Amino acid sequence: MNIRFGPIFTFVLVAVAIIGVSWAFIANASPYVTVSEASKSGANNVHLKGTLDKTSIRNDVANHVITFKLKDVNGDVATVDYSGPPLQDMNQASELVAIGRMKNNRFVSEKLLIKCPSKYEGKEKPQI
Amino acid sequence: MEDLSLSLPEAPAWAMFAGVAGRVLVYATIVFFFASIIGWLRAPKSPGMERLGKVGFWLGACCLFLTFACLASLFQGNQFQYDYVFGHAESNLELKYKIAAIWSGQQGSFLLWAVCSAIFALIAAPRTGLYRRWFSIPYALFLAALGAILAYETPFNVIPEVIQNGKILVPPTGRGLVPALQNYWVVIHPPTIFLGFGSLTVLFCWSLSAMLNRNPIAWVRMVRPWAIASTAILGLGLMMGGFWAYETLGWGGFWAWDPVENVSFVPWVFGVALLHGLIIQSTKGTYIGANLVLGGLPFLFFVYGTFLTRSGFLGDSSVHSFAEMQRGALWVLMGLGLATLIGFLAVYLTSGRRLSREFSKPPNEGGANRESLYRTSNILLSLLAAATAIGMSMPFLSSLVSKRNVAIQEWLYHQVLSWVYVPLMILLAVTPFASWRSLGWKALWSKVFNVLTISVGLTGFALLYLRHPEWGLNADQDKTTLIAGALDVKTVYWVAFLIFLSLFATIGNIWRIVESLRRSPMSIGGFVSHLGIAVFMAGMILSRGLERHERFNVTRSSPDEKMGFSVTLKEDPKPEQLFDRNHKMSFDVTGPDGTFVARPGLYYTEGPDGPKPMVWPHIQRYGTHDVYLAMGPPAMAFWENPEFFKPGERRTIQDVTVTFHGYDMVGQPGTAGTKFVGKVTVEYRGEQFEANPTFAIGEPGTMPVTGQFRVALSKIDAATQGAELQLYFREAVYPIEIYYKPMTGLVWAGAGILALGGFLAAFYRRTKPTKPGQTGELDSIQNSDSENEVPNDNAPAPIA
Repeated sequence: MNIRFGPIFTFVLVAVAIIGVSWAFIANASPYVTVSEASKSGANNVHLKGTLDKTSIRNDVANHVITFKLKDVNGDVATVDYSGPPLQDMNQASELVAIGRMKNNRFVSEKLLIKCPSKYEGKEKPQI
Repeated sequence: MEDLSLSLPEAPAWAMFAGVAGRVLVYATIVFFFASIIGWLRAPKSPGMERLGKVGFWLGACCLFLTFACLASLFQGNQFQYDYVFGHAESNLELKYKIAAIWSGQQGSFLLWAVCSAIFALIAAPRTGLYRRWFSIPYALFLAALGAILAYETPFNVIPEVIQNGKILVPPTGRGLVPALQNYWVVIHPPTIFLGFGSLTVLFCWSLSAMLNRNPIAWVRMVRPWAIASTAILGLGLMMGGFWAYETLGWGGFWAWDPVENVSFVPWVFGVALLHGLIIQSTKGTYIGANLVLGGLPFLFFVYGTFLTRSGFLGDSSVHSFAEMQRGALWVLMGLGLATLIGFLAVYLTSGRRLSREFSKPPNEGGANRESLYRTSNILLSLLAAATAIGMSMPFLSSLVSKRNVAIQEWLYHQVLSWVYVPLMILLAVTPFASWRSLGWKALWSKVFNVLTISVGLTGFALLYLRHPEWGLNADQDKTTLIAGALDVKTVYWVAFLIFLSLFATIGNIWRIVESLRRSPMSIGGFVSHLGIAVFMAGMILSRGLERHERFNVTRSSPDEKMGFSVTLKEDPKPEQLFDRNHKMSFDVTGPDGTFVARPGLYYTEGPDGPKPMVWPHIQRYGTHDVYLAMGPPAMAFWENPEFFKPGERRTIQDVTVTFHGYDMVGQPGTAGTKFVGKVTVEYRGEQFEANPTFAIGEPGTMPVTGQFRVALSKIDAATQGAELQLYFREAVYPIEIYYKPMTGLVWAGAGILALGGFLAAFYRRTKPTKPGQTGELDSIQNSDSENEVPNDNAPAPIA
């Protein structure tokens, strides 16, 4: 019998580790959700993605909360209470992702991801 | 429209020539590299063909350099008729930013990748000896593929709109370089990191050539300085990226596990594994097959990562918003990735595995020797890279499987990677004490024992220090960290444990440096870089783990106080200065360390949707910590948009009730100086204010204060007697975030030590070029064999 157990052991260990890592990522990943999914989800790190209704932005000076409405792909609208750091480009944002959780039918968020269409690769052409 | 175009200058002939030349050169690149491939393929049969292979490669590379020169000249000469130049530069950019703008877009960064790869090819190829033929062929194929991508997505497109009446006109300026990129790091970080990426191709082609030449022995000694250089340059590039983020982006951190960061991190870790694998092979003559794989992995993972970040699959999960590539170019990139992967796997399976069995020495006797510890750390390093790659791929895999996107957040990376990090750090401390000859665990333990004792003792002191904020380091005592998804412990203790690992590794490596200084300075490079890693990680862990963070809202009349800091605005900025790139605000910040003046940058650029604010953080450095102050753009308008009111209308918008009673006109209609005086009532939280904002033709109106607000009359509608009103904050509100980041100095120190170690190692391992023919195949195998018998100089000195 001349089977080398070392490599087999290593292989099994590595396989188990990779499965473990994948499982950990899959189980804990923060999904991008729609409004109805966010309402059902109990997680506090869901990524709610939608288009910003610019007319709905409200700035509560006293409490430093910015409130706005976000419309998802299904057309459902959620009211977001955002209390995170101030943003530069909220006005120019078309799509944004609010990270947080649903609480009393409002989406409470401290972090926004903003994609500005004109930031890196604009569609505008020179005016001539 | 027409008359404006007449005033624009016509494009100079040189610029139009440079554009055409650029396009032609890209095609020439492809042609020359294919000629080189044909030459090298036929070289064994006819000697003249080898010449074609070499010359073709040289010419192909030169065409790439010239293409880059063409693009650079267009940027330098403000040739905004080119779409790419228009999109990434503007006329009044400083020269260094014009250079940075070249690679700020998709096409330019691909061109930079190609140029950097070609530079390395030209330096490395003459030193590849007997491997040169099979080194050059895949390399040329790769560069030709990059050429094809550049031919699809050329940066030399002229904007169709500037062609008028058969003339090509030059727009006065372009859209400009994204302000966040206008920073000195952006001038040096991308070339450094792309040089690192370019060097990965050398490792890949060399290992491929080692398999195709059926000689997996000789390449190990030859490739080693390249592996060191590659890891050092890529590592340097990664760190520069982190420092750039810290100094300019206002996140308050160095590293965020962003997909773009991971794309460089994964190849770097595999490169580190390769370095250690090469040491095993050159000393013990084993690990042959693994090295062949590890030589290819950094490049393969980089191509995969490039595909991920450029394909648009990562979409919302990256802070870097990349434009999606054109489909054609994306297919070329995907084809390139798949072809390299399949080709590499096929060569490995058909020849690499057999070679590994044929040439491998009998495995070591086991026990606590350096080889087994290196093997273990290589498994851990590969797991670290693989885990990061899995995390980075999750959004992509998830959108393939379930058509939906997921994101992996920073804490999850930390949770998962800790499992690999902890044993790796222990190995970092222990391995320097192991020798190549098996010692037995007991002997190793007796060597490490002193180091362990000292580090446990120092960790005790560190913990004492961390628990006593009054001694200078004001760490958050109440924060908790979830370990292994189950155990909730105070962050301070978890950080103390991680610091223990760093101390263990630091002291172990210092111990070995001191010993080696006397006996064999050649091995110092490794220990120094390991010391650098330990110090660097200590800085990263302390500055992130024990960070404190609070938000402030400051106006001219109301300072804000939190976390022991008080922030006061000395004066509002003057409006005329706000468009100056170098404009800085002035805040007096009083904190535990006394008072300093924070000068975060704020300025506006004219954008298509009105002025766009741009901010820079202020970093106040102290011996034990940084105070990092990130200011957001000031809030001025309370309502997002001006609102139209009919006379007598009363409306509540954002909790403020405004009544517009109408307006009076002062002066003659249609003449300058005519004023309209509005009559407005503002109600907010039980308080009521009357105000008379004015709107004047040809001069600024007044915005009277109404409680917390100012009300402005921004437009008059004569037909309805209505008006547009806007509410502003009475004073601009400056949102500020202060991060208290302990021990950031260690991050810089560690980076410096690591870089020093890398260059020390490369310096002692540099090889002289070998001429082909001098090193015969058999010859070199025997050569390296005989040298392998001698245990490496890395063997430690016995400790008394």
